[in-house]
Order: sequence, then C-alpha cells, then structure tokens
Amino acid sequence: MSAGRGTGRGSGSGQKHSSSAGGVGGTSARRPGGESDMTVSYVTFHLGDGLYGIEVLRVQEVLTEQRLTRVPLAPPEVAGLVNLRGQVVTAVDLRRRLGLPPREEGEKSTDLVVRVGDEVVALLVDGIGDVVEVAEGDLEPPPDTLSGPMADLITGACQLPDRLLMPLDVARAVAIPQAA
Amino acid sequence: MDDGALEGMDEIVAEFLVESEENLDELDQQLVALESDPTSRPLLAAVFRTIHTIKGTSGFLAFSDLERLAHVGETLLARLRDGRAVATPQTVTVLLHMVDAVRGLLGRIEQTGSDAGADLTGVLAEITAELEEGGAPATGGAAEGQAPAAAAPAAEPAPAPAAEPAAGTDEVSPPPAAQAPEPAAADVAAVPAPVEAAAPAPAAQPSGSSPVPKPAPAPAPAAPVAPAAEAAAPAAPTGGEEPVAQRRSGEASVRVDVELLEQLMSMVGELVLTRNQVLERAAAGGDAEMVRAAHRLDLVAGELQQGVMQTRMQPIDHVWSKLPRVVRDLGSQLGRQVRLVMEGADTELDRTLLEAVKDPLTHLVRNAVDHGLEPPEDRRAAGKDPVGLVTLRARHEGGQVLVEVSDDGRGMDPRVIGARALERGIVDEAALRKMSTTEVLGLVFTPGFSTAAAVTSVSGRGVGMDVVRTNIERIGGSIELESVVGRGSTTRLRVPLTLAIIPALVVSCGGQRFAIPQNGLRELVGLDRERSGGATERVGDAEVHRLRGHLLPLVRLHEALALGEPEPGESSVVAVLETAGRRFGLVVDAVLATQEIVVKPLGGLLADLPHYSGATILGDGGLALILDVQALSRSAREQERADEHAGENEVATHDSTQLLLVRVGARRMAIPLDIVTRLEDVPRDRLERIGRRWAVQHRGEVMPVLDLAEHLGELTSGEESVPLVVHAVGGRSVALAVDEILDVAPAATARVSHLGDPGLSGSAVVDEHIVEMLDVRQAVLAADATFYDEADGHGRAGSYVPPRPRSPHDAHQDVRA
Repeated sequence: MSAGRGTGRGSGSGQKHSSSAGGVGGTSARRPGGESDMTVSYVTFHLGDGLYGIEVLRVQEVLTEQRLTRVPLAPPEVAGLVNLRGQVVTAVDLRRRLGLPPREEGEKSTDLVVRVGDEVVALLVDGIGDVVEVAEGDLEPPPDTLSGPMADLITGACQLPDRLLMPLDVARAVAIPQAA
Repeated sequence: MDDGALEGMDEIVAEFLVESEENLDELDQQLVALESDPTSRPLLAAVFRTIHTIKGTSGFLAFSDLERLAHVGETLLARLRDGRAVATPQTVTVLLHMVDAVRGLLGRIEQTGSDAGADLTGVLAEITAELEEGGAPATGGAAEGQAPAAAAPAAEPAPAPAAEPAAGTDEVSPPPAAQAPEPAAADVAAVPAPVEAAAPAPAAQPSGSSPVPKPAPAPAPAAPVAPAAEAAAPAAPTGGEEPVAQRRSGEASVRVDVELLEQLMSMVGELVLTRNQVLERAAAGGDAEMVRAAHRLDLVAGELQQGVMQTRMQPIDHVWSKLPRVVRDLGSQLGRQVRLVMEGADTELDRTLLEAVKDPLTHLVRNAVDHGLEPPEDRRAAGKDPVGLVTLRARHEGGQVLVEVSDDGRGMDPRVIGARALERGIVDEAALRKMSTTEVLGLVFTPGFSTAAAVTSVSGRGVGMDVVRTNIERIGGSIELESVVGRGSTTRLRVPLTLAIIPALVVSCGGQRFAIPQNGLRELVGLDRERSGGATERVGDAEVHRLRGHLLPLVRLHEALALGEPEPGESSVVAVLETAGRRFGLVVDAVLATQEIVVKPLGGLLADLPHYSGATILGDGGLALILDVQALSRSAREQERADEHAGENEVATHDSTQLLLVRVGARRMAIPLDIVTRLEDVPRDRLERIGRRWAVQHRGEVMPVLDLAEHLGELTSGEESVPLVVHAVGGRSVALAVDEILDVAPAATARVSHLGDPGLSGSAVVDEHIVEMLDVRQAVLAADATFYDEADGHGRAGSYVPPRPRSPHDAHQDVRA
C-alpha cells in the first residue's frame, strides 16, 4: 500500500516514507471504492490542536529544530534564517502566520522545508504527522468558522477517521502581506 | 516521436540564437575595425563567414526573412571580400544596420518563434542601393587606397598565377583600375580578375624591372611572380592565423550552462563550510591520521573553490566588444572622429560583475565621446590630433579589477564644476572652499549634477554619473575621477574580482552578529562609554562624533535595526563608513573579526528590507546578516535632514549637561551644548559689517554674528575660515564667531563658580583646565538686541542659559552634582 503511494508520486525523502509507514491504514480506507481517480498526498503536521497538510510534492525535507538567526525589522511572521547545509533559508513561523497563539516557551518546533517556485522556505510547525492520501472528491470546502489569516490560507477540509485535516495553500502562506 | 522532433528543433533554434547573438557582437566589432582597415582580408573573411553561417542556418530552419536579409548582406560582403568594392564608412553603416536588423529578427524569433512580420524594406533598400553604387568607391579605392593596401587581399590570389601561368591570359589584358567601375554587373567568377592582376603589379616593383605603366604583362613571366609570392608570404600567415586560433579555442572549450556553474559554486561553498567543521573536530580530537586527512581536505577544498571561481570568470572583452560600435555611432552622430584603444581586454572578472559594470562603462565611454572630446576643429585649434582618443584599460590590482576610461579631450575645469555645484545648491561656498580639486571633481557624482551645457540626445540628461557611482558601489566597487584641463579626463573604476566572496568585518550588536563589507569601511574608532559624553555629542537632535575636528554623523545599529537598548556601561565601536561620498559612523557593540564571507541572497520574504544585502554563513555554522551600507547611510541622511529641520525651529529640548569648548583668542570658553543648533564654517570675507555689528548671509537671510573675541576684548587669531556657533530659536538665529572649536566635554566634570566678569557667567574645570562659561544670553543680545523679544515673550535677565523650561539654578545644581 505504501509502496503504491510512493510510486504514484515519485518524490519525498526517506523520512516521509518512514513516517507514512506508521499508521495511515485509515487513509486509503477512507477512499470511496469507485472513484479513486485523482488523489493527492499530503504531509500532515500539527499546530496546536489542529492538523494541517501540505502537498507532498512541495515538501523537500523535514528537520528537527534548527538554529534560528533573527532578522531585525523583518515581518513578525518571519522567525529568522536557517542554515540549511550552506543554503540560507527563511523560516516562517506558521503559528504566527495563521494567527494562532505563540508556542510555549521552550517548546520544540520542527522545520518543514518546502519549495515554492524557485525558493526554499522552512515552515516552523509543532510536529510532523503521517503522509495521507486524499481523493480529490473527498475534499470539502473549508469550514465557515475559519477567520483571520486562516480563512485565506486553508484551501479545504477533509474528514479523516479520527480528525479533520486542513490543507494549506503554501504559496500564499509564504507570501506575507506587506502591511504585516 | 513528433514531440521529440519538435523538441530537438527547439534546441537547435535555441542553439542557433545563442550562437548568432555571440557572432553578431563580434560582427559589430569587426565591422568597425573594417572601417579603419577596409581591405583587411581576414576581417572581411570573418564577417562574411558569420553572415554566411546565419544565412545557411536560417535557410535550414526556414526563417525566410532572415535568410533573405542575410543573403543580400552576404552579396554585399562577397563583393567587398573579393575586392570588387572597398568598404567606405557608408558601406559599414549599411552593414551595421543589417546587423541590427538581423539582431531584431533573432529577438523576434526568440519571442515568437518566427521571423515573419518584421519590416525589412528599409534595410533591404539600403543594402541594394549600396550594391548598386558599390562600384563607385572602388574607383577611388583602387587609385589610392587599394594599391598600397593590395598586399593583403592579394595574398591568396597571388600564388595562383604562379601555379598556372597559362591561365594568366584572361587576366593580363584588363587594366585593373579601368575595369573596376562596373563590377556590379559583372559575374562573380570574372571579377576577381582585376585584383589578381593588381597584386603582381606592386609586387613586381621591388624587382625593379618594370615601372607602374607596365603592370599588365607582369604576371605572365615566371620571374616577377616569384617575388610576388614572396611578398605575399608574410601577409598570408597574419591573415590565416586568426581563424585558426579561434577554431582551436573552440575545440578546447565546452559550453556550460551558467546555472550549473552557480550550483557548483554553492556546493563548493557548502564543502568549504563542512571542511571548517571537520578541521575544528579533527584538531580537537587529536587523532594524527584524522588531522592529516583533514588538512588534505582543506587543501583540496581550497583549490576546488578557486577552480570553480575561475570558471565563472570572463574577460572584460565581453563587455568591451560592444563599445567600438557605440563609439563609432556616437562619433558619427556628433561629428567627432574617435579612435578607441583597448588595453587589457583579457582581464577577467566574475560574470555577474561583468554584467554589473556593463552599463556604467558604456555610460562613461559615451560621456567621454560626448562631453570629453572636442569637435575636430576645436582640437585642431588647440594643436591636437583632430581624431580624439578614448582609451580603455583594465588590469588586476591588489585583488581588484581596475578599469579606466580616459579621453584626451578638454578635461574638466574644477572651477566650472564648483560654480555649477553652487548654482545647483549641491554645496555651499564654505564647503566648496575647503574642498580639494579631487573633491570638487567628485561633485559630478552628486545626484542632479550635469555639466553638459545643453541636454543632448546622447548623454547629459542629468541622471548620469550619480547612477554610475551608485551602481559601482552596489557591487562593492569605487569610482574616482582625474582631469587636467585641456588634456583630458580619466575615470577609474575599481571593482572586486568576484561578488560571491567578499572581505567583511564581522561585528556584534544586540547579541547578534552582522557583516559589514569592507569596501566602504574607512576606520574603526573605539567609544568609551564611561566617558561617552565626551565621545559623542548632539548637534540639534543628531548624534555626532568629533573625529579629528570633523563632525561625523552617527547611526546606532541598535536603533537602526530596533535591537533594543544596549547594555548600559558597555563600550562600543564606531565603524567609519563611506558611501556615495558621504561618511558616517555606525555604532556597534564590538568588532569580532575580519574575514572573507560567502554572500548568500536573502529569500523573497526579506527582499523588501533595505538594510541587508544578503546573509553569510560563519565558520561555526551560524549566520550573519550582511549590512547594506548604502541603505544605512540613507537612514543617517534622513535623520540628519530631519534634525536640521528641527534644529532650525527650536532649541533642542532634551536635557543636555554637555559643554562645547571653544577657543576665543587665547581663552578657552565653554558654551552649553544645548543652545547650539549647529556649527558652521564660513570664510572670513563672508562676514560683513552692518553698522557696528557683523552679519553673514545664510540661505538667503542675514544672520547677525557676534565676534566673541571682540565681545570679550580678545584679539582674534584671524584664521581664514571662521567657525560659527549658531543658536536658533523660533525661526531666528544668531551666530557666535569663535576662533576654534575644541571639544565637547561632559558637564559632570565641570564645576561652575561665579566670577562676575563681563560676558561670563562663571567658570568651570574641565579635564584639569579652567574654562570660562560664556554668558550666552548676553552674547546673543549683543549680536541681536531684539532676539529674545520675538523668540520668546518673557525675557529672563542674568541667565547664561537661554530660554528653556527650567530655571538657571536647576542647571547649576545639575552641573555641580
């Protein structure tokens, strides 16, 4: 099953596979029998109580918390710069970006490194979940209750067996409005 | 399959475009060279070959317009190559237009994939016209131009008659010059004849047997042909060498995608950083074998880095090659004859830099032709060669590339430049007077300055040199100007070899590390915070540092980047930086190291922040932001401007306990710094007497001046330049003329006692010296009796501190404490 997923979208690092190997049995069971035409794989991650997803093709790698270099005068959503094996990468604090309360002091974050266009950006998230496969037909419009920046950045909602997955528009998430 | 074929086609087209673009650049150069050497066979052959290739390929790729154009051009070139016509400046112009048209078509192909739709009638007509009258110049050319130059075109044909003397029968009869006028109608095979016949003619002369009237029979006998072949021999290699060399270099090099080079470069950067970590670990671990391996890694990585950097280097010729065309077009447009000499065209620099110096260089060369060189008649009148000389020089010097653009034109008159700068309000007279010649010349780099008497279509729109300087400084370079009136000007650019790795100063501020590119760094000055009162001062609201008598505006990095308050009691360092001709001091916490840093661009999210020009990775793997000195300078300037504004309207309201120390005659006087709005220097002759008082004109207003020496009964030392302490309240200002500005001392070390002398409000001890406190109010009133009437309603007598929201007694207490 997980092999099928791998070949379907020929990308991803070993880390993703190992995490997906864990317990995603529910994902494909969710797929309605007949119309398994188009599916999208998401790397899921946690922010507070929420579960969010980013298309697997966007994700370059997942790293444990990296040393951040603060950038004075930068928009508050920019957490700083990260040295990614010699490449200087901007890190975006997704909690701030989505208008969620800040991480507790001392709480570890994880760097989800994504590619947007020509650029590589690190997204700071609370933790990484499984890779899940979602049939396009299963995607529902985002809940109306979303407000603030969330409403702009969440592209839909998908009911997993145990919780709700909210896919994120990465390109928009890393385009920080000038006013901010 | 179809897709594959199409893709292959696209690739061929792309390759064709790249190649043709390069060839056309070369063509420009060759055509301009052809103008001064119209019969050079290798040049003609090279030009012909390029156009021929374009024609062939465009035919193959079915770009019919392009093919048609190239074909007509080729016909004209064939005639030149075969010696049926000699290239006149007109011919060259037409050919250059053809090159432009070809370029246009290539651009069209690149954008739309097809060459259809462009209007070529103009160019085609031009070329056809040139073809029709093509014979005419040959008459003149053959008479004078061609005969002496004939050796080169004759080089190849000459041996022919020797090998086949019998074939000579055809060629013997026509007198070369006579036949020439009609070659347009003649057919290709027949036309080389006159040239071949012409060749042996001069060659025969050395043999002494036949004078000019008898050239015709010369080719027939074997004897004269031998010298002809000999004469041709030395010419042949020069003609043959160039193409051969080109072909060789073509075989020995490979076309590499620039993208790939960039990738290699960044991977080498990573390798270097990893090496640093390995070296550190190896040294700490103490394993001898490991240390040895680490050193080897060190060595190899270093060499690899150099090698990869080398691959990104390109000769400056890539940029220069476009300039002969620019100079030629401009020269003919302006009616100036220009000779362009290039020295050091093989000097290499990083390709990104090459791109960056292209526009500034073009601008400088245009300037040299347009503003530098005089019209031919003026040059003749001045006893100069009517042909103006523009020289480009490039060489490596001290890890930088030095590029010079010089002309032998009229030069720049510092007086004219000074006058213009005054007129434009760029400097005031006092500042101008103090400037050295070089500094005055440097004024042309100021925004809004243009020396061209008239705005021409070529240059001189007033947006020139300041942009040049900004662009050069942006890449970490510098620019300077040297000029001798009547002899010409030289502009010198210094640019780094590469942008990827730059020397930088790593500093710390607010617990973070920052890198400052060293090219703008002038010096480092330590600030001792314990007596920081003495090291930095406030003039108006601006913080300044007195550095060897000059006021240096300060920018605190803590404030500029909102890093929070610095730790109290910590000492700090002023990095004196210069950019765009302005100096300012950047106050940071500490200097950590100077080192070569690899510049990494910041992502798009941070591109809007002007303060940083990139980031770099330090030896320990941490990051440092690279500060953009130009941007910081701008913020310093804005601050200064705001302060100037504020300072003129009100006395600084902040609490100051500092004293400005001045010398008046032989006395040291102290003036409370918070009444000082600004300091100025004026030439003594600007001081004018009005009745019993002095005044100086300042920004269109008359400002009363009190000569403190006179006021206090001292003899002034009468320096040529008079320092003024300006005190302004509510739009009015008075100036106190002193002999010298000495220092600023914190009032904490001053003890005030009352002496009761006229003009003094007391005395104080500052740094072991007794200084007298000036009664400012009295002095101000002596200069302008009505000053306080209008400035503030409630005059308070007997105070040395002018109106401010506290009583003079508070001030005394303050000072004593």
